[in-house]
Amino acid sequence: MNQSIQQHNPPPPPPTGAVLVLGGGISGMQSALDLANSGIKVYLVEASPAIGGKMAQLDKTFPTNDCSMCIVSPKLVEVGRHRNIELLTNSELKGLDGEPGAFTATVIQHARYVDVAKCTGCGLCELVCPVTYIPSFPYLKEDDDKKKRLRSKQKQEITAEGAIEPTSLHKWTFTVDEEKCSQCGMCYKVCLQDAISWQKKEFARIDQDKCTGCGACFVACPEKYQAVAISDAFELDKSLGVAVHERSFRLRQSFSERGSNDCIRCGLCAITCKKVMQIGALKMTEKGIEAGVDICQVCGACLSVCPVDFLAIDKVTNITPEPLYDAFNENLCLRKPVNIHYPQAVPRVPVIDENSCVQLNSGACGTCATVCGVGAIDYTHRQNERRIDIGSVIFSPGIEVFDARMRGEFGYGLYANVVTSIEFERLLSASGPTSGTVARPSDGNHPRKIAWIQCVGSRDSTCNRDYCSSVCCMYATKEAFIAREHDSSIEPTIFYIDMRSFGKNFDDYVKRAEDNKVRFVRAMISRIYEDPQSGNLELRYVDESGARISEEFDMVVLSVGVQVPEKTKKIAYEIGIDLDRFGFAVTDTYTPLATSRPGVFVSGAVNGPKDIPETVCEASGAAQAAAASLSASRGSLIREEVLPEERIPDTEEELRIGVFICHCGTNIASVVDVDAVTEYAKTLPGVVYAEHPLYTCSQDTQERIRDIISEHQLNRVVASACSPTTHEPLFMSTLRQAGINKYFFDMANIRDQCSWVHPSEPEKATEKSKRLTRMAVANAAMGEALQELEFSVESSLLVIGGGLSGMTAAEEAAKQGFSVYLVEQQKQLGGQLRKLRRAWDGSSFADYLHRLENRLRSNEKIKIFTNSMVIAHSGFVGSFETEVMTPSGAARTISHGAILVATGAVEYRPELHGLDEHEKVLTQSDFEVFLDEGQEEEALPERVVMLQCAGSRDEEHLPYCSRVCCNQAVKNALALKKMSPAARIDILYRDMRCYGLGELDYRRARRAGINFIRYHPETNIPEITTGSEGIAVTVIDPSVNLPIRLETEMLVLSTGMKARDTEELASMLRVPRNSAGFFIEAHAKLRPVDLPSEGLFMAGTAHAPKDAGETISQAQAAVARATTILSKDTLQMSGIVSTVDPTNCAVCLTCVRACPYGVPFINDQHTAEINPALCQGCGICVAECPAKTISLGRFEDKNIAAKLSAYSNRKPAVAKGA
Amino acid sequence: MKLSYYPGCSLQGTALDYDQSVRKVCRALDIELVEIADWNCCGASSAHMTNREIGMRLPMRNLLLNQEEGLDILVPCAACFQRLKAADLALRQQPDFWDVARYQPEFRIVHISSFLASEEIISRIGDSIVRTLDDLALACYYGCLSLRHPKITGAVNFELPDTLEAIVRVLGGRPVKWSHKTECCSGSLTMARPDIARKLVQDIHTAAKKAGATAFVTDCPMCQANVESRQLDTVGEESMPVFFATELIAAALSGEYPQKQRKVHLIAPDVLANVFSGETAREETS
Repeated sequence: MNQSIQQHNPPPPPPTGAVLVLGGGISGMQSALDLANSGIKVYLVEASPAIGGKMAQLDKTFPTNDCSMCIVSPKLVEVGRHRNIELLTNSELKGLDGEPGAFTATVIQHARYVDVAKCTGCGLCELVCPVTYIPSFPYLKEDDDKKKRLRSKQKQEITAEGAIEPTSLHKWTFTVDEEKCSQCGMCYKVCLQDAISWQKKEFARIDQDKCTGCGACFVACPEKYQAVAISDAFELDKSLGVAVHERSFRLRQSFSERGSNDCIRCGLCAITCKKVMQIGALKMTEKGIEAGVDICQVCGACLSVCPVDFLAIDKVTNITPEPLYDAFNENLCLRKPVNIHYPQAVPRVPVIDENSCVQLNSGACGTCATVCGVGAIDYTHRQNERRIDIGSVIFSPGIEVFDARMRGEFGYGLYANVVTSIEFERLLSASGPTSGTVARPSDGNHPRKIAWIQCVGSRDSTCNRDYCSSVCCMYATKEAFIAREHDSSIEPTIFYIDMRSFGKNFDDYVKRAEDNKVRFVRAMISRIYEDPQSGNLELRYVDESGARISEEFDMVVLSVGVQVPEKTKKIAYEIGIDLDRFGFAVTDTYTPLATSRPGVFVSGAVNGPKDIPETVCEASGAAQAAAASLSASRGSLIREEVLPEERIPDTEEELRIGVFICHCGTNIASVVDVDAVTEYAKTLPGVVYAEHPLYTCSQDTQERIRDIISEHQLNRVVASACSPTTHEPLFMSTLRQAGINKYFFDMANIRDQCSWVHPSEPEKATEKSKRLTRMAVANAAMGEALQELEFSVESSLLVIGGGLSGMTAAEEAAKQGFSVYLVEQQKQLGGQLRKLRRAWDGSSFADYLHRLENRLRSNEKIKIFTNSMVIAHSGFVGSFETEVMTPSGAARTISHGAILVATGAVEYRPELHGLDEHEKVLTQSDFEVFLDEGQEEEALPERVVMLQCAGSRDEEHLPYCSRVCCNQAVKNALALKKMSPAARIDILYRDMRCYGLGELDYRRARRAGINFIRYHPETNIPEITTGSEGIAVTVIDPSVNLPIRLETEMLVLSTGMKARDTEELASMLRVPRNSAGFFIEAHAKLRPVDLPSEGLFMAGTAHAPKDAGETISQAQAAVARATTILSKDTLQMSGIVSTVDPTNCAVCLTCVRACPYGVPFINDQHTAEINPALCQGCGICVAECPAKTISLGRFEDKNIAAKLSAYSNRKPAVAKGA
Repeated sequence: MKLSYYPGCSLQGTALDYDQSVRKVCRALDIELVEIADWNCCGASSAHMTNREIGMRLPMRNLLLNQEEGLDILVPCAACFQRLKAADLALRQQPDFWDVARYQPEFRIVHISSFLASEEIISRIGDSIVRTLDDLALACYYGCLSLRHPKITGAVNFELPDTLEAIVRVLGGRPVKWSHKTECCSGSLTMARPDIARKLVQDIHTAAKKAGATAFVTDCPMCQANVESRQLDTVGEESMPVFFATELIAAALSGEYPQKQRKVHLIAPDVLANVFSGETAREETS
């Protein structure tokens, strides 16, 4: 009806082709990339100084143990350099006006005090900044704008333990300027070296032979005269602060071996206090340093410039110092007021903290500005407000962890060795405060016994955290696993309630952890007792046999849950989106990514607790949802990449190779001597340049590489860093941006293959790094320019499978403006959802499917083939051809640019416990149908037993967890309880996996009197008898530790989900499936809906078991991913493809048979031919060809030979066979 | 400052000295205490275990009596505090059920240590100290009733409270860091199950000793009596006295620890006496 009214209105103006994404975590980044890659301009607003979010803080990720930073950093860089993503870091969304398609957002950009455009991210400012505490700034506001001279009333002497031996190393020269000297003799009085001669009415003179350069005279000379001058000090031309830093640094090196911390009388502390900070609280005395403890501003500069760590903060002040903690490192270490958020930060530009910077508060110091070579520091920055026009908004601000102080019984914040799980991540991280060493905070010792306590701030109604945080069981398992990888003497124990490893391959991971000596104990810890002497922690618990046990641990990790920050709730309120009582966004089962405000979409953990792949999936889905209504304006606000002309090197041109050896923070440099490898690389033939950046992949280094290429006229580049799989594309695009062919590049993986595998043999690892670098250099020398094929894209999508995911995807893709072919094997659309009845909220699935089908059938862009199947498939990304067998028996060929596999799954029906034999034994879906058929009250069973994991998590049946059954059992049990409150329901379970907000229904079920009885598949097997006399179940109830017998009317089996038979389809599409028949994603963490082959995507239960809401958001995600291809006019193929030289081809068909992709064919010239667009570049044909007439760019014989020869020869020579 | 005062039975019997020290401290801090006229049993001990209604109506009467003056009620005994709070909550929620027409008083029921540790009072204490505790290492022991159940007592920091620590600190003592400050002292079992009582007191003693404490300080008369007495038949020689917080404040504010205080302890309070009288005190006792 609305439509008919709208028809009379003039056509609306086109929407704004831009989206604001709020939050720069993995969710916001994925949304931004999917949008920007499909022609939508993105404004990415992030509150912290850099993007990356929680994922950047993690050490490794489950269930693959991939390094979190390693897999996220390519995304950081891609977002950072994407021309259609505008990054607004250190910024906040203040308001949102307007309507969907035409919003105006108000964004506050906080003052950064560093110019993002000028800053190179070198970090010098942070290095020289002397401030290490939050100063108290007691002397700010003076009416006449002039500070009073400070006079201390309370002095305290810090005395050296031994004799003070003044040093004159790296000495500065002090002289008295007679023109300024007032002849007051202050300098004479303070000189402890007897180096100044002075008498009344005479100028002071400094005897340079006696002077040790402590600068006491310089400090003492009254400000109004300033007659003592430094005539010679390194870096003084920049500023005194920089000069102090330089001398301190050099002295620190000279004195690093010294045993004592006694004062060396360098005078840098007093000079800094008086002349840099303009306080003057410190004075040198015979025995040490005298501190004016009452005038100290507690900036800590004296401590940071002291080269021998003689001073301590509590000695120089009587104010309680306020440490300036590093929030990225979870306050486990200190930072400077000017700080780069983390080493790989994008943008790698520091922010100056307004609360602690001395210059911003008292006007003194200013050292950072003087050291910055590009003049990026600007103390006059002010916050500014921007109004941005956009069409949609994605709300993905992420979560924070629960404040463990709210659970006082664990003593967090009081017991030093009780840490939170996110703090433990930082302790594990190579770039964390302990450089990846697992150390106890109390004493730095290596802990042996570590306990994890689960559900701290989760599943806890006493502190309004009733929900399950979904990720803690897995991250605790991972942390325990990785801790043992760091130090195999660690004995981890995880105390848990239910092991909620419900995701794809999660149970396998937990099993591996168990095999790797991670101990799992099912018990809730009620309290931690600290031994005040050792700092050890006593945990008391009741084990499964009921015995009370007391066990001591060296360290305890609290597995804190996730929660929505108060700040986020405030923003949500301001932009008018509804949140539930916990702060999670309110959404609907069928539009899981749409908030209550039209045009505002939600993604990530703010939409309910979830892990990284689920977040990435939602992020793509939200991108799709946000872009769907903007498709008319796609491409209207974006800029095309302008690449410089590719320079074609002369064949005679001399080799000019540049080599970059990566530290990878400490990942590589802590084992491999990168300096030595760099020096070695410089000696290799053809190498004209070599350096060793801290992170080769960081944005600033990438820009630097680009500059170095042109500055040194490089024509080849080698990176000795990490895995080419993750990072090669990044380097190659940098080469191309620098105007050289991207195949003039090679990479040596000195992290995975050297530092990671040989941590205990640094010398050999260094030697191996040299060798790998040598091989890469030799290979790069042989590199040739390869060209990439460009072809046009067919802008239509083939969806295989017409269940919920396929139907959703079809509708969404049509909204994006693409034609859709929806192929369904059955005669009806709807798939497995037809067998289910109601969603969690009680709404009817059938009604929804009916409405959805009607919309699909009336949509001109969607062509539906029911009773049809895919029978043949060919082509390549952007240009596929697929044959579909229609009911008439005719085959129809469809041309399309991408494929979405949505073949779904079915409920498993095992021959177990009389299913399909006994009429009162049902599956959960059967039971759901039974309940929904409007039973008379007499027909309802009075007693029901449900058996969870009936044929799931069982090697003889389905080895995996089907994820949905626990929630489904709770849903059905509650439904029966509502219809028949007197009914007795017993649910036999192994772990109740009611993840996320499903926990609320689980709690409701327990309160409704539904019994939950835990069984164990080995030690407490339920004995079930089904016969004519009825059904009986005997099991030991662990709460009383006694066998109980349940006589029941009905037995409901939670049988799990089984993949459909897709063997033929999978081999036709050449995509892999796991042993259970579910399709395998391209990357378990970051590409959850991509299939490994380009242009193929998947959604729904074809991927793994999931519920309806998850299926819908995954379908939306898959469409977003497909849109990044379908929205383009043309695509480029890789340049690495096989070519047949017809001269030597014997037409032996070896290549035709060997190719796993079926690409080679015999052409009409009677010779083998390989279509470059189809070739995947695997090289199998090259290896197999008996005539050696097939070649593969970049992997030619000469490349391999050069590598082999470089491997064996110490001095690499031009390849001449191995 | 003027407060209603509810001493309860303990403070008229086994913890008579507690009552005296509370009154002494309040006098010194210029706090007027008005004992609730005709107050009766708080309903703890036998009453609430025997009959819920009696257990509630007894403390309710005290609250209703207090309505006239309407002053905040200061309660030194943890059990009395807990019962009065429970009665207050019940009355506020359902006055009709308890045959009260209207119950919305503005007065609060305050337990002694949270009162003394409040910002205003603690600074008054700090300003009035005559003699500090000389860094005396003390284990602050709260027990359970003044804190639990938090829905009744309204305690925020019920797992790891720190009001006694704040008091000890301002007196110049050194609160030790330990984990047993809210462990059960077994006060309610001390007669019925002395075996359990001995074990629990021994655990508390061991933890305090390990943390370096030389004595306990508490604000609960049952804990004071139980922890002192049960140490005698468990740790013997090693026993440490249990002081009331107000006992320490009274000493610090007056600058003396009178000889008669020794008589109220089952375990010789030498550690504190020594602070106030130095070596001579020790010689006298030995």
